[in-house]
Amino acid sequence: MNLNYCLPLLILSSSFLPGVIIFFLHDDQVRLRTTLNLAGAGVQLLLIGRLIHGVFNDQIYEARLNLLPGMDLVFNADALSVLFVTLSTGLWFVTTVYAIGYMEKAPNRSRFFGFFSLCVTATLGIAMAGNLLTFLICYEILTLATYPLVTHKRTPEAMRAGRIYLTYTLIGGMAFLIGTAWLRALAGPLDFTETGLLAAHMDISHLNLSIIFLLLIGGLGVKAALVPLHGWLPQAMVAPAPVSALLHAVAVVKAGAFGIVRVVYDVYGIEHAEQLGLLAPLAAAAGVTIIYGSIRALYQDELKKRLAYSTISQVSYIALGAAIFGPMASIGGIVHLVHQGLMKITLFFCAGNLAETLGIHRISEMRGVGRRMPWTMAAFTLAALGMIGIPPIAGFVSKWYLGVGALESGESWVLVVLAASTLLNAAYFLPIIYSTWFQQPEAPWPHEHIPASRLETHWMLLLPPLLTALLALGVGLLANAPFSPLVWTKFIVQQEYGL
Amino acid sequence: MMLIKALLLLTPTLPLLFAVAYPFARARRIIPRLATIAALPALLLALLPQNPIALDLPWLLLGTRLELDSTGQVFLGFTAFLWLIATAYTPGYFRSQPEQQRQPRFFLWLLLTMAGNLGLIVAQDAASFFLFFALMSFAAYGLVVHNGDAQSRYAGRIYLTWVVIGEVLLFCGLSLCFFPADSLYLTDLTGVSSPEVATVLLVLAFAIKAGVLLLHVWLPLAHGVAPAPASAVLSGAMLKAGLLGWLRFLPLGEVAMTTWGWLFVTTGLIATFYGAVVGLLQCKPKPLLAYSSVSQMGLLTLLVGAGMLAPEQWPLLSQVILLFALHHALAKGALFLGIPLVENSRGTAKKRLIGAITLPALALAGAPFSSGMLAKVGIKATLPLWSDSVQWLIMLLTLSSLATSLLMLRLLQLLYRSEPHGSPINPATTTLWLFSLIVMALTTWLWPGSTPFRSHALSADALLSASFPLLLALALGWGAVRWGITDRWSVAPGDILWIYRHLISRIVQLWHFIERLLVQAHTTLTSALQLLIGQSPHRHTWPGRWESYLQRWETGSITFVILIVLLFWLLLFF
Repeated sequence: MNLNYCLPLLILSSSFLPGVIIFFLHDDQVRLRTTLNLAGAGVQLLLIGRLIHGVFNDQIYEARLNLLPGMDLVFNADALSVLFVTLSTGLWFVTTVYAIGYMEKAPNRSRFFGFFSLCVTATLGIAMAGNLLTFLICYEILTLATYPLVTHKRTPEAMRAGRIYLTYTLIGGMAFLIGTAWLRALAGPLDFTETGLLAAHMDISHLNLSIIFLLLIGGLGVKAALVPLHGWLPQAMVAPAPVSALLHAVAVVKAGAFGIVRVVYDVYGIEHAEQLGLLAPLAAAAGVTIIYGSIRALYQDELKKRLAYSTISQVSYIALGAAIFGPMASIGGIVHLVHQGLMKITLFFCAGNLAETLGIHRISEMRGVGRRMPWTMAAFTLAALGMIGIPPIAGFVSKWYLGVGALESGESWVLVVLAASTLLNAAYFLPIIYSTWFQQPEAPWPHEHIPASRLETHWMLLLPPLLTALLALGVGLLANAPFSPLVWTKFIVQQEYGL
Repeated sequence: MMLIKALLLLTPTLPLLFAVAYPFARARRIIPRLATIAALPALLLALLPQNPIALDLPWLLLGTRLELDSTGQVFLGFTAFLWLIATAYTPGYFRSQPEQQRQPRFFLWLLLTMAGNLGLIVAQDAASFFLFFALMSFAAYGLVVHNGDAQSRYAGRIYLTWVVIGEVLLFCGLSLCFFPADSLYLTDLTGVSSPEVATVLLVLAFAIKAGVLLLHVWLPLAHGVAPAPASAVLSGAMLKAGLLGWLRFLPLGEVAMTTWGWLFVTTGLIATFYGAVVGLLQCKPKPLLAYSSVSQMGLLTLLVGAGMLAPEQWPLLSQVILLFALHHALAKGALFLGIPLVENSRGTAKKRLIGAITLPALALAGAPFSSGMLAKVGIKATLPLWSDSVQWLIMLLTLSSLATSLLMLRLLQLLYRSEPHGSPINPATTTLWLFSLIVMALTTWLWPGSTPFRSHALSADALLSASFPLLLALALGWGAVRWGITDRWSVAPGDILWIYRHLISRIVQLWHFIERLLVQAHTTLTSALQLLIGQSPHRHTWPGRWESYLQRWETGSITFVILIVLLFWLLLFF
């Protein structure tokens, strides 16, 4: 039992244990709960720093627990997991700070924060899963851990959203389970391997592999909100803002997208998948989703709903990147895991700030809000411009690599999709930016909870979006600096292509 | 060496740094003073003797390289000078304006736009060029809508629409242009053959910025409503960014592009006359000047087209392009800055200022000894190099000089009749403007690049042919005033914009039609399904039924049991 064995488990338990303890706390034990939460996240960040250092120096971290003969629960850390783990923990930390500010007087806080930690643990498990079985288990735990968060408000609307969420994800999970079992029967232990574990099993028939691919991607596509499996996502935005932020940026939606990346690269292997002709349908689905999500977003007046449809569109960039055979496109897709996370979490934080401070839920109520909440709206503007793909914000970098990568592999239609998506993004974000900064408020704010003082809102609500917006700017501006997500992604892609 | 690198870095970052001061109330008070010095490093860099030193920042963006080449030096020179004058001019201008328009916010947009405009000139890689181009274009929106009335908001909307279209075209064009190169540095682009569609996209993207015919509709609107200092840099410096884009990304001087060349030459010639004619039909000085820009950019388009037709003549042609760009930038900037000075003054002061503003107007018309004449001599000198029908072209150019001269007369007429809408601008600002006139008059002649044309421009022959259109214009103008036909017709700024609006509204109609069809199909389908499963379509919707089925506790538990069974099955078998 050395550090290389323990580290993945330590990382998992640094969010799992605080979560479990928090369940038993009283709602009023704010200080203890906050300390536990932040200490857990802090320790986790430190551990991950160690992990990054190790993985960069070719250390191997693997914890293998024998579940049943021939079935191992494996947690390990390769470059791809490190990327996702860092994103999850970093944003968990920020979201926790935000949630503490946001949930200040809300009921059932212990339940909320407990499940919040479990949700992150499951995400970390997904990130570090070393084989498909472990991935599946964490994936299902994530479903169950998020349900109480979605339905946290207990209103009929929230309960309805929760049911829809559960239906979709359980059915998706079932498909994924069947796919996994089938593949296990054909190929034996399903340890993720760079360049693909199926490379060693060339004897499996094409039909089998295609159906299994469909099952796996179908199951993952529910969480990744690929059209037509996206129906739950716009409903789930009734959840409290921190949950939406985490759901859209890291936990659920990202878990699905991450799974797609894993299946394409580490199960099938990108070259093998290309040969089997499985990538083209996935690319088509992603392309349709990108356009469809953007068009639907145009019609939403509810801010969070517009953001939700925007997520549907943006997360499919990741699937699109995975579905194009070529290192540049892969870089664009994988790096968008991080970039989209940073931008989208900022947007949801800001939406939460508007709701919590002024009671604004609709875009039509946002006229002139830039004067009342300049910092929040500055962060919002930055993230929205990034989503459109304006440099130097993160979204531009992903788009550039996706575009150039698609051209390299001769898929020039992708450029049209990207262009259309840029136009649509501009069409649904720029009017918001315009009305907040360049129009005068017409009516008093719907429900001003927090009066304007020296700061426009509670500092715990203000700091997180500013931080994530700066990060979104930073990872774009310093895209080529050492240890930036882009450079790390290049490192991942080198391994996945066996270069 | 170190100095050059520092200046390269400061050129785009100093305005950006000052812009960062804006959110802080205490720093906001000195932001007008900061803005004035923000363009200084760029101007200094442009004036220093040129040596090829690149500043490489591989960690920045996708690998950034800043460098000033000889083309960039001219562009940076006039751009930085215009920005310097425009920012120094702004406080005095604001004092003469109504209270609600004197907002420090203007300086924020000014600084951001400046950073983009200066940065794109020194950028030597695709990503940072795109960054600065986008920064300039989007930040200028704040300048366009500054007045805050309905008219400027409308102009802003049109402007932004075209900016977004331009950005998308540019993104696609750049990625198509650079993907075979495997590097983002502009220097690595030579010799790389990009697909033809990349050329189409890049030409269009920059044509929007340069106000090429048919893509110019945003320009008269935006330049007409922006405050005068903003119009000066929009027209003088930022239009040239489109030109610079062409020079940077098209393989000019490398390969002959005959079709493109003729397209550019023809469009340019038509734009020259079209801009002048529509400009004559304007009733306000600023839109008139904007149309004059469309007309003058037409001549630059023609020159770029000439370069496509005769790549071997590119060294000389590019000199003429630079000469013309330099002349037009300075003259147009001086004209825009002069308008509020004249408009807001009264009595003899007004007459004197009209006298002063005649100077850049004459330059634009190509009067003898002016910078415009030098530039036109340059254009004429290139004609035999790329065209067989020189006589025709000379005639057309003379006609275009006539048109511009008429346009300038019309400007003076409008200015003469104008009513003041603010208090007179203070003497210091007026002096600053007069100083810029001197710089304008001399720079083009002193610029080393103009040497080949200087002696010819001072020959009696050239002076005569330059005076001819001017005198004819004076006669025609006198006649027009005499018979009172100057205000008989007018065209709203944006001329053919209504065509686009009409097209778009048709597309929107079509979309609504498709939408209705889809909704109808969906309702029909759901009702049919409900009838099939024996439910009246209106009592329960199909999703609702599915929903209520899922709500039941049993469904959940059954699903759970199935899951558990499946898991066990899994465990047992493997």
